[in-house]
Amino acid sequence: MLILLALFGCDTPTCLDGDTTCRMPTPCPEVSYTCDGGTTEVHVLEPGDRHPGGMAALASAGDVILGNDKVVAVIEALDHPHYIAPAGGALLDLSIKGQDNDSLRHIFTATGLLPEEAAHYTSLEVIDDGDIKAVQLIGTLDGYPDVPIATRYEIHPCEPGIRVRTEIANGTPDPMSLYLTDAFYWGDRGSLAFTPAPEGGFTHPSFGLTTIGDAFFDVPYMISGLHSAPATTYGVVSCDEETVSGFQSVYVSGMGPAPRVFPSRDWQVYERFILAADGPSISGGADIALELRKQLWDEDYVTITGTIEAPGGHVGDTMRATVELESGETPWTDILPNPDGSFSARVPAGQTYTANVTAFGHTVLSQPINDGGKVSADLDIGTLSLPAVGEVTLSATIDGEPDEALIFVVPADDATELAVGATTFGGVWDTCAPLLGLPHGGSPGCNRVLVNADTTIALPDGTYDFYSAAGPFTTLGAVRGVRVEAGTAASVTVAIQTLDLQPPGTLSADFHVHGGASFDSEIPDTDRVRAFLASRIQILVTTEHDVVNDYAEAMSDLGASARLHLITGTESTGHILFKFRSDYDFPEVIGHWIFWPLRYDEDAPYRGAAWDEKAEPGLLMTHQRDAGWDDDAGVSQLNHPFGGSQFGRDYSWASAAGFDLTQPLKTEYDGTGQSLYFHTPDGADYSNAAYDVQEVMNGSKNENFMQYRALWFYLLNQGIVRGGTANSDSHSLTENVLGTPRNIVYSASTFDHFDLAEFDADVRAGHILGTSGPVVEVNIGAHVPGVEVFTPTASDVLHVRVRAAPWVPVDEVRIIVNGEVARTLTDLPEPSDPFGVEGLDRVDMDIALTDILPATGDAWIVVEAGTPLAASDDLDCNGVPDTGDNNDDGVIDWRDVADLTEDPEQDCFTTVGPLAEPPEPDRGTTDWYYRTVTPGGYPLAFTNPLLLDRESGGIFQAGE
Amino acid sequence: MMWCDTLENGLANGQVQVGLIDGDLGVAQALCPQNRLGLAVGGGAIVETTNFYGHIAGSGTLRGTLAVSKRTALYAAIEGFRYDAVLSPIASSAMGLGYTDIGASGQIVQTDNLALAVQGKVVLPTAFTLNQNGWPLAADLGLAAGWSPADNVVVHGSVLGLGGLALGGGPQFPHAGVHVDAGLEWRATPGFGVVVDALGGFGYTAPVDVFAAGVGFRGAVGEHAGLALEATVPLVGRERTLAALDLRFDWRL
Repeated sequence: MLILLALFGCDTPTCLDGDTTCRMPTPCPEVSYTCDGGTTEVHVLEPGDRHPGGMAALASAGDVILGNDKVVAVIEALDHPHYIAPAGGALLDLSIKGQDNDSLRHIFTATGLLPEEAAHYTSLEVIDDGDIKAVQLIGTLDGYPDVPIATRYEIHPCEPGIRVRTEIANGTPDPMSLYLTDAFYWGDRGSLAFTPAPEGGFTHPSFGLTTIGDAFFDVPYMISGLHSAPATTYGVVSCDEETVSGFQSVYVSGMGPAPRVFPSRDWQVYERFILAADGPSISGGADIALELRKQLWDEDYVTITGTIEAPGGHVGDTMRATVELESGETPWTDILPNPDGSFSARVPAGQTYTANVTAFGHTVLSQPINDGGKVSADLDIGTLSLPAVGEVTLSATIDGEPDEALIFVVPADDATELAVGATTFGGVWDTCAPLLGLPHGGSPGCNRVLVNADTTIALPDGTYDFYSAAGPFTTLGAVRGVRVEAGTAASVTVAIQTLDLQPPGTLSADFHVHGGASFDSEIPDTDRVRAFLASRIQILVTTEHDVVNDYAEAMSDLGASARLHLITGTESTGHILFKFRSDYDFPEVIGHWIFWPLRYDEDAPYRGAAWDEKAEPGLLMTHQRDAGWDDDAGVSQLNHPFGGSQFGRDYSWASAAGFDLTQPLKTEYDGTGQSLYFHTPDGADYSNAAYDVQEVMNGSKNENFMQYRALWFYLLNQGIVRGGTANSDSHSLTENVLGTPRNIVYSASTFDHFDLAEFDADVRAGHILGTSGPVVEVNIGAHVPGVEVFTPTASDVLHVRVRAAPWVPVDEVRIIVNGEVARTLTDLPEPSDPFGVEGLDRVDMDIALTDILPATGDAWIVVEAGTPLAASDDLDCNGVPDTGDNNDDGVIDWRDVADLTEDPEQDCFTTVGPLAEPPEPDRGTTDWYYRTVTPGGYPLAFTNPLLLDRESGGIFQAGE
Repeated sequence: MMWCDTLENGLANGQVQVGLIDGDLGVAQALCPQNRLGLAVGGGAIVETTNFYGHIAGSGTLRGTLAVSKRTALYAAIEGFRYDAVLSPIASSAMGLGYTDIGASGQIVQTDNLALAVQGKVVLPTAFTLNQNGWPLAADLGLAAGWSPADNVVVHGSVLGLGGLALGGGPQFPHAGVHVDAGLEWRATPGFGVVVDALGGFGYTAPVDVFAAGVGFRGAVGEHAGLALEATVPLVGRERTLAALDLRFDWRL
């Protein structure tokens, strides 16, 4: 009898035999919520239907709404997959009813890390059973047609989330390793997972793809919060077991039953409750989780209340005060108090607790609760008093008029920097000094504040400078040495003045910008548009990852269309690994590619972009064209062509393809990486080489410029000409400053009479200067940089003119011919006052072509200006600079490679990097002032090439 | 005198006893009924680095046969300890009791140098720490034959039908197939022998499950003890195992 009972389990799967009319039982039957007037709904979205909103909301016609009186969820249509999932049917949006605060990127079902281990549903059924509504999906694993999987999302009235049941069976002959998990895709810079584990909270073990098993641990629940409103907080509680097992990172969390050997013919059922709480505080989600655990496992909880007293106010600002309740080394919840200072949170009963209060990233108070005794009943812990802070009201003027500006708050001395420098959430984000707000949310972010009219911020004690520039063509406004003391208030107005630097007949543009619609950005639309305006960019291409966003509401609210032409595009960002090289064993993605213009369509999946997975670049271009990208009048851009990877996904096409720049590209396709450049993939109408322009500068720090430039030069030397661009790739107010670097596009199209087709034609023609400060104008007679080839005369000269704002150092100008520096101009004039208006002219001279060109053959010329480039070498012999003189000994060798501890004794290393960062400038120098508004960056500008056909009769062949 | 009667010590007989399916399903038992009790340790591995997959299985098995008569034997084996590890980006492992199989063999034809037997076994789902919800039950049934053209040589063969399904309330995944085997045993000396086999499996997991080669080295120590080292190596087919290996010690009672 016992054997029979053991053989026939109590909770058996019902939908794994291929019958799509089956019905799974209600998940989590022990859970019960009641309320007055509870309702439920389920229906398929039609074009024109209103769908739930929020920064991460992506619902489109064909997706399924599943909701009740508390929450609204969106389940993807089967043909609307997102991000890492190979097919639809995942949880795409989840928000609080009526709040339009979806903060969820994606939750999909997987059984491991590999793409083939994700669920691929082929059947979706909408179920309306009176009060109970459900969506039921049936399919198999993507790479295992013999592994059936079925999931039921179910909603009941009054409940703060979704009940979920997944069934799976191994119909293959061999055992698998089963980690049946909900993969919570956070994206980066956004929601952070919180787990009640010893030394846990927001701190989790780091891991790589080969060490992820070491990062697993069991927890009673996981909660994730965005920490800035409007937001929904999410979490998961297992209904089958008292713990969930998994790993956490800023990109993705996996939570499910512990991994196990899944032998042939075995099956598994997993039931859980995915909860949603209103607001950005972890405590909202933890409160729900503890109520669920009481219902499921009879675990008692208590409610702890109190009040934060914060002289100077601003409680409710994310960095002003947060409260963590910790028992021993286990944090159980993290609370963002209400604006009036009150807070309330549940914790498990019968434990001792400490309240840790953090302000501006520093723990300012750590106090045992209940005199250190166990807390077994609800408890009010009274008032927790924080140190007082000062207050500063900020504003900015541009040419005497109040205007949008981004002000950088910088400690004026080392003592202040040491006192206020902080990170947060266990050190997930970079250190900010001071930490005024979440680094990647709205304003203030890190130490940066968007101002328009008066904007008041709280500041801890210290002495501060305030800096701002509205792009590289203005002065650097500064108010320095402001003493801020607790309990005091000060006013600061930063005055900026426009300089006559932007060349006539040009438009400034940023072709690579992200906002909250991107999976790795959490800046609200309004703050993003304000940042557009503060940068004085004239033409901006919005390039959200995999989707299109037009910022229509924020543009309208701010009247931004009068000052900015916004073009909608997208950045295709591969998530699903696939194999496309015969000479590399592992699956990859193809890096990032930008397309514009693409029309924003509120009802369409991906808001008008194409699904961009598992396609080589040529096929990707075909898909985007079919989705509406105008391939004749628009632009396609190869982004950051060399670089690293995130979660195993390459950022960069040239890295993924493995181009060896010491060898010519193969023109015949043989499956190897070197032959991919010109390959036309099956089903594509374009070759992989059919893109229009390539990023040569990306990001304010521009740390990979040498590598991007190496590819660009390599292609030019093979007669493959693409215009070079310079973009900020800004995702927030922190990291990259929007508009730095930027493109100065020479075009007959003007701002007042803007013609996108004409403008894009100039972009494709390379009529661009890329710059993070210096303005470089070059010409040979009437010929200016671009993709047009011309034949110079014997007496022609290269005219070079370099100008820059006084706060932009220009230490040298490099004349580059066929990829080699032919001449370097140094000893350039330096303005005496970096805050003034004088000293704009740095170089204005003619150089005879005979002095710089080789005796014979075609040639190309690029001119760069700015800071001398850091020394670098190519230690792995692929023609790409990879390592700098990181130990400053004047030699670049294995000792400069971060991951090497001994000489590998190889001619060509397999482990290399990093490139060297520019040295930290001394405080008070012009370089230092440059960095106050371009953190980590250095001045650099490059021209597009002048292509000189001297011998080939109309065909440009460099070096011949 | 039938050749089984000439086996006077602990030297093992029959085809290579290393199977590729749990419980050695599809492997014919020795034709000569003997009373033996033994212990085997062995395992197999799948290594597919390009697919980020590997499987290692190892076990310690207690085995016994009981000669009910000169033509009939009962046999049983229990994996007292079994270890499985699946190597993938998220790896897992399990250890505990393994599978149990019980079976019988009865000769229906016996001459001095020829034997033909009906054999069958059932593999029971006793791997309680490995299987958690779906319990695989399997059986084989068929014919095994042996012909001894010389005193120290036996040519053997078998045809076994296989079948299995999963119990436990989930999908049953019924499946069936056939295994055929042909091989040669050579007793180089009374105390040492070699066996080679060619095995084919069809229909159980794929149209062609496997073509495999088996080899074994067998020894006898004294009148009772026997030692054998045997392996089966898949050559073609769906089967992904690189090789399966067993080291056996048993005592002839």
